[in-house]
Amino acid sequence: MLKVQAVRIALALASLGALWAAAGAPWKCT
Amino acid sequence: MLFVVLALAAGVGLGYAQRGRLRSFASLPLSLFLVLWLAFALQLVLVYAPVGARFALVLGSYLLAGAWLWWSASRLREALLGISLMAFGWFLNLLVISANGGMPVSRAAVIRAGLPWTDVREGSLFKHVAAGPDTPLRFLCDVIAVPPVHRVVSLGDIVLLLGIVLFVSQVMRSDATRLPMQAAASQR
Repeated sequence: MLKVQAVRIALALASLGALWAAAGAPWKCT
Repeated sequence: MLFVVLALAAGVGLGYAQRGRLRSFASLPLSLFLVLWLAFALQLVLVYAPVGARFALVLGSYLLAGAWLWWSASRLREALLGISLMAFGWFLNLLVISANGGMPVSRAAVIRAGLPWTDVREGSLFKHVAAGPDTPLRFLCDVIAVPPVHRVVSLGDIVLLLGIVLFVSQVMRSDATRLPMQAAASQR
């Protein structure tokens, strides 16, 4: 149960990373 | 990803400082976030897309992110302030990108950030263009240099990151018993 909860938390937080990738536009050298 | 990791960490720290709990995130339906992954996938497709289709894909990705913000604003009332701030940052970036066919990058800011000036159209997920003297909405472009981490950001980026910090702390503080999964667990 704890493991499932940890995965759900990680996925929710990672989704905010996806939002940043989609809506943010910082410039860095790639 | 550096900035968003810092924003997430700051949000979690703020949430704990306000007696919030990270487990509130486990109560959010994962389907809520699906559209964000779709928006992210569109950005990845940019790498393989023909040059002419890139701008449409960038706009599509922004619209999907906007749809998520609008949808989550109606579902997560406890985090409305954070969502509003994220939406404002999203809007500022969308505005300047729409006006310029991409996010304009200031050459002076790139130099200040300690980066070499290259063809910005060919880097960082292909959503940038070079800023010129006649670039509209110049103050919303990538003009803010962050030399310690060699990045150049826009005002919209900063507002979006602050929104993420606030959103995380607000969800952590939200009443978990009112969120769908916790409610179902407590009824068992």
